[in-house]
Amino acid sequence: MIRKTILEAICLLLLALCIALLHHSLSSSGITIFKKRPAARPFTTLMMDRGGTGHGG
Amino acid sequence: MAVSPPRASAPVAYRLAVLFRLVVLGIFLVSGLAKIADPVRFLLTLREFRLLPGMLESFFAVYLPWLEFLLGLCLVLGILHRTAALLIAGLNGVFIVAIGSVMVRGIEVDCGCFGLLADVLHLPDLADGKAIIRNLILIGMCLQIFRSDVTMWALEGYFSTRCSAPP
Repeated sequence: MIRKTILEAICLLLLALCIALLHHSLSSSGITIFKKRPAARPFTTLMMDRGGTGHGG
Repeated sequence: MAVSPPRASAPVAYRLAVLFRLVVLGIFLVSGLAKIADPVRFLLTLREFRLLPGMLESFFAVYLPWLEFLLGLCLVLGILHRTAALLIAGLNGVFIVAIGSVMVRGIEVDCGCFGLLADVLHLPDLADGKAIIRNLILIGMCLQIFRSDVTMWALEGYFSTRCSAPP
């Protein structure tokens, strides 16, 4: 009984560690769970970045 | 794990344990989520305690909120809930030691118990005697959950009932 409880406790601690590391690595890559991601840039500004006029064509 | 229905001799203790489970899971789920949402604030609180070296502070600022949330989730779902209750009791013991050390050194800091919720809901968040008493009460609740093996609204109890039921 004691051994089972200790094993379960270790499993829970390790699971929390895995989730925390996953969350940390995701947020380090710019993928956030709670904060809003910056709004997508308008298509016209993307076109200007590529040397276009932003008006298409 | 065997299902232990409420015994006729101690129904009050069993119902109390159910109530305690609801209280503890609510506190830990909410405070865990609040800290996950604002890890920087929790890191700053940990730094104010001046207990850990810098790297460990960052590690625990990421790890502890998720541990609290996971343990709360275990109590919600009723999966490994007795072990989760025991771990929560241990965690509260660690918090008591940390708060006690801050009080002994005469440092006045926020305990960081509820993360950003402390500001939003104006919850008590000072590392003082009240926080220690709050943690002691939580430890008592967790030990009662561990002793009573509450299988009401628990997936663990549901599955073990189904597995042991005759076809």
